Amino acid sequence: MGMDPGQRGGTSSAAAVAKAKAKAAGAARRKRAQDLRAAPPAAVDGWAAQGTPASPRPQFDNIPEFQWGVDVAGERAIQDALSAAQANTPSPWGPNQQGPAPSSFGAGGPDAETVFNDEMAAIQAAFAARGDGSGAGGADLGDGGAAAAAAAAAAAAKAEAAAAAKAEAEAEAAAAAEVERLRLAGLEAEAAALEARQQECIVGGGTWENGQCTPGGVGEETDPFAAQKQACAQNNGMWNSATNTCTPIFDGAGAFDPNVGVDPAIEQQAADQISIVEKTLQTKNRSIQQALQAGLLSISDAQTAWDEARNEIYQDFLTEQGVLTGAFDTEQEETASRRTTDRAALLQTLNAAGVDSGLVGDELAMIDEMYRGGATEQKDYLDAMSRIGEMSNADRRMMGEGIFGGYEQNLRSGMRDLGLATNFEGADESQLARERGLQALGMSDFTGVDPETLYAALYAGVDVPGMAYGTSEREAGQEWASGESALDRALATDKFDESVRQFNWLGGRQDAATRTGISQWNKEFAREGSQYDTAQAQYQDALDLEAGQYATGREDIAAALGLEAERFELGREMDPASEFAGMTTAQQREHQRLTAKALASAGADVKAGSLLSQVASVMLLEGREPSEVRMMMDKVDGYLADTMRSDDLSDENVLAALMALEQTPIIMQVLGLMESDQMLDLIDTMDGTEAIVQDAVSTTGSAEPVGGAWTGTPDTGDPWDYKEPGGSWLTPNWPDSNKVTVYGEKYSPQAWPEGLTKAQAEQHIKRQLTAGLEWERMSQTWKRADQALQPRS
Amino acid sequence: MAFDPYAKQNVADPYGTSPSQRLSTALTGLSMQEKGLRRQDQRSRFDLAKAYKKRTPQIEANFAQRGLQDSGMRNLALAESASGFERQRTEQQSGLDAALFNLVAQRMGLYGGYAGSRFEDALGATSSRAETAARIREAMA
Repeated sequence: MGMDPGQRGGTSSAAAVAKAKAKAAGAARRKRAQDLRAAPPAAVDGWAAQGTPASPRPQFDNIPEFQWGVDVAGERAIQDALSAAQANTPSPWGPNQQGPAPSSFGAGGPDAETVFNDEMAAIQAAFAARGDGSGAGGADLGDGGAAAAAAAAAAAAKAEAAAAAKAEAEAEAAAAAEVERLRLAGLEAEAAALEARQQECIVGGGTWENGQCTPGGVGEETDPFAAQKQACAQNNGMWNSATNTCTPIFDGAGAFDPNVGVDPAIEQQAADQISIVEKTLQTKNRSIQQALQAGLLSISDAQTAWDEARNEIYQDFLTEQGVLTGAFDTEQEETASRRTTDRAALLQTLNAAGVDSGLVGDELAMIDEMYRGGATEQKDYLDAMSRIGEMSNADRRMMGEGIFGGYEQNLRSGMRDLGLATNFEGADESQLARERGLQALGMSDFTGVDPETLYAALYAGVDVPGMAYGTSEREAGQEWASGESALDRALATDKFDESVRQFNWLGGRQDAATRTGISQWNKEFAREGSQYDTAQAQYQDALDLEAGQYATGREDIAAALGLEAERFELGREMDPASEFAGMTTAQQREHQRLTAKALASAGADVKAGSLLSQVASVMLLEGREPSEVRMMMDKVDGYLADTMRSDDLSDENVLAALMALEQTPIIMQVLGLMESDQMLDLIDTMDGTEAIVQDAVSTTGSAEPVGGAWTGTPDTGDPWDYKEPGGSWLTPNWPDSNKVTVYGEKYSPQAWPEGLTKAQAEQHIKRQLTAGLEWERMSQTWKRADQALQPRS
Repeated sequence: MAFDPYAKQNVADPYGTSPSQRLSTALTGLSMQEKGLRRQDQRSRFDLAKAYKKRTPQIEANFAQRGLQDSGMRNLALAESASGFERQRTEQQSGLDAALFNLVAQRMGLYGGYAGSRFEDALGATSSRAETAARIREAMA
């Protein structure tokens, strides 16, 4: 990573001198190479002429000029290979190329054609190892012959020689620049030492590069392939230590034509796309290289700035250090001078006083020695510090080399990776181009699309086969529709013609047809009239039937209602005059139990049916609580006690008490429930209580004799003949039953039509019975005697 | 490495904001110390010489009182006195030299530190520049 002096702007005289020395060394090296080149051919020719593999092989590999990548070595190796091929002798190419076994030569060996083919293969391998990028040329060797191979080898060798000369010139310039930098930094001694080492390296046959000497002398004990390896690396090759050959690395620029056969038709099909890929690849690689070079220049500029700044600062440091140490030295010198003067004056004073200064000469000498010792130590210390400070400059320079060299290396690595990725991408794209070429050629016959269009469609993403199929389908559809349309038009024309013909024909037969139609219409009208009558009769019959069914349904409903009424009456007290009218037996018993319990709770010991028990019953029926009954009993007891009527709870006492307590509603309800005999007994007992009866009767509005009997049947003397007039308060008007009794059988209202009186209903029932019908209670309908349900036995 | 051009600036110190200002301040202090040392040395040297001048007549007088003006003892006493004076003067000079040496060493240390600071700044700036250049090129490619 030495700096390019051309980039630093000019060279100094020292650099020119160094370059002249380097050129002189290069000239000497080339002269030595020519001498070496002049000597071995005889041995080679002699070795080749011997035609035996047992002969000693010339050791060209140990001579730097005869290594791979150098013009002389390349040309000579190829010439030797060609000579060996022509002479059917083992190839001397390469240090590790083994020739055929000795037994394979002579009469018992392989034939000439086999040996020649082997030699051709060796030459091709040599070209491949040279990395000249002409794979096609190598491939052509098998077909073109040795002359073409020799010409290609000579051209490649010249190119390599030019590259080697350029590299050598660059190395010399870099070495000179390195010396110049040291001189600019004020390190003349270091620059001289470096220059001496460079000259020593060059004189020794080595190569000075990157601050190091690469030995290249003849007969050295170092790596015999060091020069080949270096040349291989400089030419972007990869050294194979197993075969000691250099394999070129494709740099991505230019056409890459590996020796792999691909169908020429495919190559031709994909040629344009591959050209695009390679053009893109070249553009990318050029951009990468430009970026790399620009980055390297920027890093080099930074390093130059560092070197300049470092040198400037170092010069300042040296100046200041020199000033300080110089001032200290001056101070010491002045001090020494002053001490000498002072010492002389002192000795002169002693001498003037007549004193021999030698009396204390040893002491003065000791004093001087001690003083000089301290001064020397101080000076040595400062000198050591100065030298240490000067040494640090080299350290800083190396540090800069490491830092900026590291950046350069990182940049190179990154760009190399990028270039590698770009080359891989280009290879993938080329692969894709060829694969699509293969696809286009293979699918062309099947799809009916030409390969060029199909190839373009594969890249454009257009479904050309689908489009072609759609086009053919559309054209077929159009043709079919056109035919159909023509047929439709012809058919429409025929229809029109037929209609015209029929119209004309109908025009001729219109009168007869009209008459026939009228006659047929009349017949149809008459037939429809008959059908209408029939339908009307059927409708009437349906109406009748519907009415019958309706009546039957009504009767069924009425019968069902009657049956429900009878079911309601079952288990209930249906006598309207009864105290328990409408109550079931269980309800009656419950009510009697509650009444007795209420009376017992009141302490009244009365018999069932007495007035007091009826009063209690009525009160409970009205919804009053047993406590109210008890209070009523207490009031009755109180009244009887106040009126001295004893504690007899007879009906008359209770009635008198209730009247006195103005419990008229209870009295009226109780009397309404009382049997006639019981009521008469009560009246007889209640002597002198007419006013009470009159008041009660007066509410009904009926006429009654004052103090006499009620208006009713005439008094015949027999009290059992008397009957109460209707509507009196003793005989209230209960609603009559709605049933009719005929021949001892009760019939519910469902047995006769609605609206009839009972007499009419009785007559209707008798007619039904006369007609042979029977009233079925279960269904509440009239049925024939044979259809009526038979009662269970 | 991220380079900070203001890393060595100290705004809290008006007498030493920048490295060069701090160097100047330190050098000024050392110069004042040097001047003080030299003044003290001159005073000591003057006092030493004065004492020696006073002492010599006293020796002469002491030996004269004893009638030993030209004796070997008188000569030895004067020589011893001169030697003692010389020794003290040399010690004084050695002390001054040592003090000046220390000052020089401190000055070299200050200059070395200052130069190191400049080296550090220059290397930080240029290496940061190189790093940025490499990063830019890699990003561009």
